[in-house]
Amino acid sequence: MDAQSSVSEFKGIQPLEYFQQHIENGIRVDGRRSLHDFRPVTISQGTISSADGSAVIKQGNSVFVCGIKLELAPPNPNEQNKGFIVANVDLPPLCHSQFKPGPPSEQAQVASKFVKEVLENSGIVKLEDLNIKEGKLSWVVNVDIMCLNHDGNVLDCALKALLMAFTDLTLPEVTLQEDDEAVVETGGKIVVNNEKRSKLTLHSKPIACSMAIFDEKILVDPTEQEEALAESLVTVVLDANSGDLVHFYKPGGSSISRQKMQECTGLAKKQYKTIAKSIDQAGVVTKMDSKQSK
Amino acid sequence: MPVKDKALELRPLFAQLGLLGHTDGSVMFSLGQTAVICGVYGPAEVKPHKERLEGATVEISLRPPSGPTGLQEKAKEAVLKGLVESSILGSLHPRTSVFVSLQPLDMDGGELAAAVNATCLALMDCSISMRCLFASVEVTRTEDGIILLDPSQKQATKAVAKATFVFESVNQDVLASHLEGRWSEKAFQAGLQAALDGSKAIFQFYRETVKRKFSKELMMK
Amino acid sequence: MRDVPLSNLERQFLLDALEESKRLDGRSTPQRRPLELHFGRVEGTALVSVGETQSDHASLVYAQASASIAEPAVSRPIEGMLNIFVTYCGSAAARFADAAGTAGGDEAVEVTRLLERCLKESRCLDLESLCIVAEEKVWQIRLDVNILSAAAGGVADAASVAALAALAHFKRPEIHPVSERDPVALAIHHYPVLSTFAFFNRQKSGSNAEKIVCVDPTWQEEQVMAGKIVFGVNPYREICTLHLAGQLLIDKSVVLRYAHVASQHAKSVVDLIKNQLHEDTQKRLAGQTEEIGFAFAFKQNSILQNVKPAEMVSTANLEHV
Repeated sequence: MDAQSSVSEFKGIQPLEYFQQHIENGIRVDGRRSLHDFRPVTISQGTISSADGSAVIKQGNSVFVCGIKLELAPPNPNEQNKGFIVANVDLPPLCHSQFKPGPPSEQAQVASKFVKEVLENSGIVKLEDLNIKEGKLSWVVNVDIMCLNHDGNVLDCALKALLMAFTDLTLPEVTLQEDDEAVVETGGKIVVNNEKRSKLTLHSKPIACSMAIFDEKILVDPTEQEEALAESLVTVVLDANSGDLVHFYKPGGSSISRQKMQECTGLAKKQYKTIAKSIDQAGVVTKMDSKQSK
Repeated sequence: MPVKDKALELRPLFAQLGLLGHTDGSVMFSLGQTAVICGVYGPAEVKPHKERLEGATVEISLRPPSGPTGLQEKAKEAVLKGLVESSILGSLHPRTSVFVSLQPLDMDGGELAAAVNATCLALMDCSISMRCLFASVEVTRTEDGIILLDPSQKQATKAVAKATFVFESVNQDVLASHLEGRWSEKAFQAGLQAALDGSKAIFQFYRETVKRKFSKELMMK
Repeated sequence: MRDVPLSNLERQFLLDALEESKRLDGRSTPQRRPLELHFGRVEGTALVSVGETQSDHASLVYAQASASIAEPAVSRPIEGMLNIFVTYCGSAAARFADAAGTAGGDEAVEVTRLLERCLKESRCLDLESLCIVAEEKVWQIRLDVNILSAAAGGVADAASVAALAALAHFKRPEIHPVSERDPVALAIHHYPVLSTFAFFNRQKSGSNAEKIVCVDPTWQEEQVMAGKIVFGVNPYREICTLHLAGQLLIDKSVVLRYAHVASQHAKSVVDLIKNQLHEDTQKRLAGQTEEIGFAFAFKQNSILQNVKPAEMVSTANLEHV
């Protein structure tokens, strides 16, 4: 009892010291045995029945939902054979006390931009695949990623939720009855067959691995507390299909040597294979976890 | 395919300090034909709700050349904020504000790199104590696997991937990085090396610029 | 640098000097400051500086025109649109330094209104030529005017020159496919330019005495003046805008007299724009790409400047990576 209270006092009074001692001993504050361990990930797909594709992911205490909704629209006159993807990351006040109601916070805007960049860099969805009839009709893919509980590593979780929602996404069959005069506004001529749906081809599998750097040590998958104390944050995104580097995101923070950069990439490489596997068997993972909890 | 003559060339650099009268430090900086104007206020009075006890509050305002401020500017602001926070000695000036205002004038490739370098020069003109300087260079990779250092818009048309790196002046370590497109690991390392070589020339340019600024005072001594 | 208001002593000194027709910067009262205009590499961009150009005692205004396709207003189905946005950048003065992006408050509103009246409501731009399909698609021209420095005052005058120059320099794309046809310049009917005249009351004689008038006031004079007239006049001496601010009662003959002065200013500004535009076009035609753009325009011999030529910085073998 006494030892217990002195630990919590130590934590409260000297949070940095408390944190440092854990890291020196190669363990994490949240109980992870190694600095390079991920928190357990739980994924479930198709959770939102009204969406065309959805996923919920729980990584440690961070919970993210991603929903994809489809719309039909005429393509952009300059790019007649392309569709649209509109991605947005929302960090609402309910996920953490640091966010206030109102316009999107800076962190949410930065996360949205990051997700957009990864979508573009990785070429996961070819915009040409979203075209139904050239110059007439295209899909608009609205991707909304929302954080339900923020405990660090927003970028990894958001990207995983996005990837899982995309694998879950199905497009209904659309036929244009009179193709010479068909315009979207005259809704009658477009027939959407919701029964017959097909999957969207995904051309890559971008997987992010965020790391926090603290005292020259690399902490994989940092929690919110670890992010706040870290000297700098690095997010490496690799394409699990080709092994290419899709993003190396380091927004300021203290500098890291090139050696450290290579180390980060190496760690991300080690991690992405295991993550990719668990994502491939997403359904299985969920079931296994529920069994374990019983 | 032979390496293009200008593949590893850094475009001409230009800087004019102290252009904006009402700021504490300012610069017009150009990298080839990409031009940016940057003004800095600080350390100055801070608004009570932004006050920090442990150091200076850094704010960045990057305006797009036209249209309302969008996500792209916000993302660049976030990168610049991180850079300024980690390079100035903010703890020397607690409860103050350091405000950086940037306006891109001409865009001809390497916009983020130019904004970063302009910010560093403006901070130097402002005489804020810094733990290190920082310099940024953009590199691109063409489909044939050729790395181009600091390409203009025209040179970059064939590029399939871009990367912007920011280095600090003390250990030449990486302060920030930003990628567009896919990079194989080997190409990434090569690009990083080229950018590092480019950044050294920029640090030299900073040194000369400041030397010129104080040349009269130096002569008197 | 904090915004420091003028002290009473400074105000009094300024007024006393004006009484003897002397101004702080050594100008005579009807004299304007030099104005410098540069065009950017991108078509439709202009940078204007007023005052001791290329020094920290200059006001600096940047304008950029851009075009997009939009639906026309119901009341004007065959006309394109011109929208003007004026922003005081954080660097203009410490009071504008706010990351939340205050547009510059009342001052920005005043300049926006003046530019709208001068450029939009005078219909200097041929909006009908911007129509693509009546009632469906028209070109929407967006004019962003960013005030980078207000250190020398005279912001409205400089903004009008920058805005007009940006419009004259701009080329909108021909209807798609964009790449196949050369972009076309905008059709401009006439070139109205703003000129500001500051009025000061004489201190010794009565209130009926003629007021002291300063052309192109500095920021200090703007703080002290009793009121001002802003004219928007084109070189044909047609008045497009007349803006009277402050506590002023002015005889109509005075208005006419200064309108004449303003039109002379307009003529010289329009000549400047046309000359610079001609030079810019020549350089573009001759393919002297390195001589266009702001970077080239600013080069001069000053210890505050530094130039480094292009340099091979790396010899690493980066082929076929």
